[in-house]
Amino acid sequence: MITGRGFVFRFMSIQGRLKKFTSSKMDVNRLLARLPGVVRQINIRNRLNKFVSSIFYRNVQRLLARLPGMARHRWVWLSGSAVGTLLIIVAAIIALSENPPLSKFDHARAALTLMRRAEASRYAPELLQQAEERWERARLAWHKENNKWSAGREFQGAANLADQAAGLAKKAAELAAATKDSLRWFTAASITLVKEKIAEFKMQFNTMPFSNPLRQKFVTGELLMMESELAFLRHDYLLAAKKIQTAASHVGSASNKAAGFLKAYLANIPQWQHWAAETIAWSAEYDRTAIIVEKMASRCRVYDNGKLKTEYPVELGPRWLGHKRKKGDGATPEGCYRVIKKKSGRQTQYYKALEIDYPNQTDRELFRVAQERGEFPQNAHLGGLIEIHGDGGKGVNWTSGCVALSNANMDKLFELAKVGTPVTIVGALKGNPTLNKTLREMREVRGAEANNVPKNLKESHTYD
Amino acid sequence: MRIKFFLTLLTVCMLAFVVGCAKAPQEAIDAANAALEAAKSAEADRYATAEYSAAKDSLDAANAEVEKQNSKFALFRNYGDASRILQSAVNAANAAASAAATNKEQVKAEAEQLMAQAQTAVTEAKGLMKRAPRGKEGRAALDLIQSDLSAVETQLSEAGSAMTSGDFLTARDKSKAALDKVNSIKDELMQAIGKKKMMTTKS
Repeated sequence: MITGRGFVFRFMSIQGRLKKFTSSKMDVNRLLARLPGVVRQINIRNRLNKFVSSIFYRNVQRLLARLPGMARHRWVWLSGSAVGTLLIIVAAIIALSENPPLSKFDHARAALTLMRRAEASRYAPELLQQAEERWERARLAWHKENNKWSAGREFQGAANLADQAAGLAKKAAELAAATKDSLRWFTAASITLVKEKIAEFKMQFNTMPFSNPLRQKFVTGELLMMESELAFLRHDYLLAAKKIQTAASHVGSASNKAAGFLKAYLANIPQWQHWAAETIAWSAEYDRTAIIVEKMASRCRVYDNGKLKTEYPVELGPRWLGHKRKKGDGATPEGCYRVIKKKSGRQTQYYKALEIDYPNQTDRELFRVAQERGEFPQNAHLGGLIEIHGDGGKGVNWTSGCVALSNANMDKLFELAKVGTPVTIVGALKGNPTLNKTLREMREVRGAEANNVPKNLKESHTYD
Repeated sequence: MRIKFFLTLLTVCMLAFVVGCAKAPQEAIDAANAALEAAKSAEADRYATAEYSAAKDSLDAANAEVEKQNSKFALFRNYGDASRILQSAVNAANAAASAAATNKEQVKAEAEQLMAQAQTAVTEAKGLMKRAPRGKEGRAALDLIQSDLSAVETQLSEAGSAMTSGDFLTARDKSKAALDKVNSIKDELMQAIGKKKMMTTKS
């Protein structure tokens, strides 16, 4: 391919040769024969050049042949001047044209690359979008200027946009790095915290028969914590942080509800302590056996003459927490009862049993009030046949509200108890220090979480 | 004849100008843009983030090189480097799309496997519940575990929805969490059954 410059130089060379020819009045063919090998090679190498050159030679030969000596000289001179002027104009245009600020564009591109490597698309998406939009505008402005006549180009606008893109990209990279770091720290700490809360919940409440929605809320929180951990392990701190926040909310809510319920339940402790004291006093006064069942401790204590004689582990109904309110609720009643029947052999399917006088007058009154309030359906019953019986020792709360002992312990209790023996069933006799600790910590954690949540999770970004 | 001479001279100059001017590789630019769009459609920005960013950087560099050449005097333009960078951008975008497809397929396979394992584990846990200690009147004493299993099944259902919508990463995470949880439930049940067996052996 012939380049523009190459042709001009060759053309000038031929012109020079022709000038020499015109001055020496030599024949054209002789002149060509005298041309250096390079020119001949150029003519041979490039067919197009040869074609153009042949036209040129023919025209020039014909023209010059018809001209007188002086005129011929003038035309050659004029042609050379025209070409020279053209070259000067081109050189002037190049010299006068404004050069694009390449270093600024390169700087902006480098900043964009760093921004992308810093994962700004995840951790500073708004700034990234702004930086990319600014870069695109810079490129279009550059392109627009390039489409103009060389001398009329003005790159300042494009350069400013490139500067802005670089600045935004730098900010985005810095913000992304800071956010990522902050989220990594926040998520790691939160995962640890939520794990502790889950362990605490399990320790405190796992055996407590809360409602299904409460339990499912807790399990959902546990599953979210696991998902957060998985996201954390693959360095997706944004997702991990979002998941752990939801997990913390679920676990916290379940813990609060459970603790609240338990707190309300344990508010009855003074009354239960009073019942227990009365039962022990009765035992001391009449030198008789009395039984106290403490549900939260899963213990059945036997008193004789007002003194603790022995105690046995017991199993209750799966929903033992709370007072028995109606038939089929799976709860174990709380109150002061007496043994009304001792059963053994075919009288009971649970080895041996001590039937108590549930429901008593208080139970009936509570049921009536609840039914009047519409808390139970009209066909609801108060239930009955609550016993202390054998076949226990399964390790789980499995009865329908009765108190189950292992057969060996039931044998001993059966011997000690008589018809009329007081059986006082209470929720708990002591406060719950661990529960109090849990409640205190929950308040602290909620306060800390509110302060430590990274900004980008609390509110959306606004950038100027 | 003079006119002929000047016409010839003009033709020569114009020919030299036309032959000397290089054209911007618009087809290559379009191809690179299309390749990057294809990579994005293949979710390369999610499943092959680094490769996708590299492709974007490459395209930016190519566009800058094209404009750099456009800024030069027509006779001095040379789009050779721009063409090479554009080809690199196309290759990088294709690599990102390919990596995304591979990673996505891998995540999908993992999610499917974990979902199947979790579902099997749920079935096994339900089987274990039948063998676990029970109370009178047919009431299961394992209501809490049943409640936990319900939550796990809900989680698996969510994983299935994520899978259907093509969100395989979410599906994988949810399935993995469900599997871990159901395995812990199974352990709990096995312990309860173990206790029951021990008691039966003692008596």
